[in-house]
Amino acid sequence: MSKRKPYTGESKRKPYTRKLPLNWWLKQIFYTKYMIREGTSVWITLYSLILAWGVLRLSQGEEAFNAWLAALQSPVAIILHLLMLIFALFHTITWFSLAPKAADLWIKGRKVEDKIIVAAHYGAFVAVTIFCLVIVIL
Amino acid sequence: MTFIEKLEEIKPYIIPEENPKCLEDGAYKQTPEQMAIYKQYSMCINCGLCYAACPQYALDKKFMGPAILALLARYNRDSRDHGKAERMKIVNQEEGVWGCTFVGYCSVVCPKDVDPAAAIQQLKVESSKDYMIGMFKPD
Repeated sequence: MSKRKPYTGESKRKPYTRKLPLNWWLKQIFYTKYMIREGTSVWITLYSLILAWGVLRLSQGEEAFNAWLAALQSPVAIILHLLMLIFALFHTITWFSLAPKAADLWIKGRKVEDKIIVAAHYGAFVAVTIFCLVIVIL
Repeated sequence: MTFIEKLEEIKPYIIPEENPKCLEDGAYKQTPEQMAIYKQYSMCINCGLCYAACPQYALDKKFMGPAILALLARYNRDSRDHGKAERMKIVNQEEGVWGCTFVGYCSVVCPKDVDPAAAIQQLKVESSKDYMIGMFKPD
């Protein structure tokens, strides 16, 4: 029988450490979509700030609020809002498609199907949109 | 921590209740429904593809990573297990589920359909519940 070397406690292993180049998210469409999805939050923040600015202007009186409304009608503001709408929709669609992963719903010992969870999200989305629209119109 | 050390840390085995029943009382029974709740997460073969797919793991090696967290979920979801409180201490950390930003590629590359991304997102829900309960009922 060969004699084993005594264990010294020092590790001789050289683990492979994967490098992550700065453009890692451009090399694979899945990662690119993920980065866009995360990036949409910046645009949504911007939209919230514009809305908050409107509330602030409202508190300063009618003239200030009308000036804010007029500023929103400039071509730059319209293009910006269209961009924000596109990003908000991208955010919504991608998150709704991921929603089943976070849901752990079981009915009678069976997991609720993914498409039912996604459909429920779209249903709620439509209902809330109509509700808000009704409030604004009335 | 290496992968093996992380694997040990989550206690990937059934932790029995405080006073486990005697052998002569028979085995712990489990219904097919109780098994279905964790079975998917028990299919992991430790191939490491999810680690290769995870940019969060590439950025931070302290992150427990997809396979380990899916295995942790497998034991936490087992009706025979009583180690949930111990494992939640790992789950609740930044190196636990909160290091995950839900890229979701781990579940795409998994050859055994374990779906680690789902395990982690559901553990995030558990971790949030743990935090809320801890606020009102500190122990």
